[in-house]
Amino acid sequence: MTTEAKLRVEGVSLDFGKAERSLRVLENVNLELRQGEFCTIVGPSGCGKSTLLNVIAGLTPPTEGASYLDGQVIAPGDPKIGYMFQSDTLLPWNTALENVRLPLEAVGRKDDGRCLDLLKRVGVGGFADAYPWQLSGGMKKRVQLARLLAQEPEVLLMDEPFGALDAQTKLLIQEELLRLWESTRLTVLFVTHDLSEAICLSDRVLLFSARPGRVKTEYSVPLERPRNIETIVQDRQYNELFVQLWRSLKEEIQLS
Amino acid sequence: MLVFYRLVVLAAVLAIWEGAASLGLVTEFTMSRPSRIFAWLGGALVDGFFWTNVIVTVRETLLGLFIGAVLGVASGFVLAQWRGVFRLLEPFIMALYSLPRVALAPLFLVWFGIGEGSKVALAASLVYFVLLLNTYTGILEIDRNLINAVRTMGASRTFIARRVLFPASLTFIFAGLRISIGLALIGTIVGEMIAGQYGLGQMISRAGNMFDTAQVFGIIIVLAVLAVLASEGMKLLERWVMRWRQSTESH
Repeated sequence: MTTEAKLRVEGVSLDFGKAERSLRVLENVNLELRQGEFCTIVGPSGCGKSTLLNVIAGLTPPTEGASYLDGQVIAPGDPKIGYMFQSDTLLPWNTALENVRLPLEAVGRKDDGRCLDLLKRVGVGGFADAYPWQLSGGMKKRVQLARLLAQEPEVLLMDEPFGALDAQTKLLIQEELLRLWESTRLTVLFVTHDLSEAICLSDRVLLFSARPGRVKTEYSVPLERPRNIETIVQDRQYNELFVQLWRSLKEEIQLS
Repeated sequence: MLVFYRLVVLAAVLAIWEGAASLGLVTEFTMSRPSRIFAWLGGALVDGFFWTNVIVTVRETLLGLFIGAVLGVASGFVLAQWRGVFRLLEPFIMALYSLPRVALAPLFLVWFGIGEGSKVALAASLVYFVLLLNTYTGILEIDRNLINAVRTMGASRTFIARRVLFPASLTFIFAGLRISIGLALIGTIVGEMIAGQYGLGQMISRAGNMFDTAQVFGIIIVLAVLAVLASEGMKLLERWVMRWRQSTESH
């Protein structure tokens, strides 16, 4: 337990607006993720959990505090931090393969055939030359996962990435994500409002308070790896944790 | 089938016009008649002087469109990067945009001479502001997360401009270009009518002074054909440039 944190967020506070009319969105957020840890944030809507990811990625400068990768302050746009947004962020004018190549070209690297391999790995190798409008919602998410891996990040920030998908597609892509994570052992910080998703995927669930957001309670998920999403919902520990999380979340929702 | 009905409508209008002129219901002096107009057109099509004028007008229009569009898109891009500068200049831009630019024609004659330069300048001045405002709006309308996603990959500003901002604003740019064809033509024709030696505007002006209504109508038809050809050409260009788009018209 003495290992240096891979990702550390220290005393991050954020105000929107200026002076007296400002709104405190994040209040002294502290968290640490170990190398290879899968950590999820759940919380009432509007609690600032997505904003926290923007702060960590350097898209929004915090009012106070800082985020560190391997003990170094994270520079905005550091490709070691991969970010998957809730909305579809594939470029509509590029094919699936061109989209996966984007993070390589952004830093002046050449594709040595890896990008097509990545598309195959997430199960959409046959759609390399398709434009985003020709792909289903689930396929677009797969292409985005491939693009995220092409960037070769060390930490993944995922902001409700599967929120807009239908239930079946969501289960399939969650399985895919688990499989990828188990083979790469990336450090993941995942934001969701789906408690089942939080438990199934992560090692640790952080419950955020109503605004201003801060870490209210931490739960570690006692389920063994590798996990099987199909059978996990029958697990007794899963159900206990689900109820515990839901009660705690409900209090916060009623506060907000 | 629709094309057939359109031709029927056109033929009917021409027949009524011709009939009204024969019966003396309209005076030929003010309205001319289709048979005379087509007779003039027939003669013009084998006349070298007529073609010289067509070429001059087309050249001025396309050059004005090109220069106005390039400068307009570039300005829109720059101002979208420095919003503060846009806010500073906004009242001036809107004043120039709303001003009837045709009123600038005498100045352009002094600045760019009586030749083709002043016509190109007038056409370009009409096109410039449309493309500036369309490009600026297009860039502001882009989904922020699309830009943020590429930013988190460690991309530079120029990479984002080239791979995200420019393609994303193409829809707005082409919308501006479609309007601009007509505007460029207005600029050129008005410029030619005010002063000059060549061009269809100059021909209309002279024919009007001689009360040659058949020729005026004939040149109007030529201008209409040129405008339609130009907008069809622009449609083809748009479809080719934005071939990644979902094809909405499959036939």
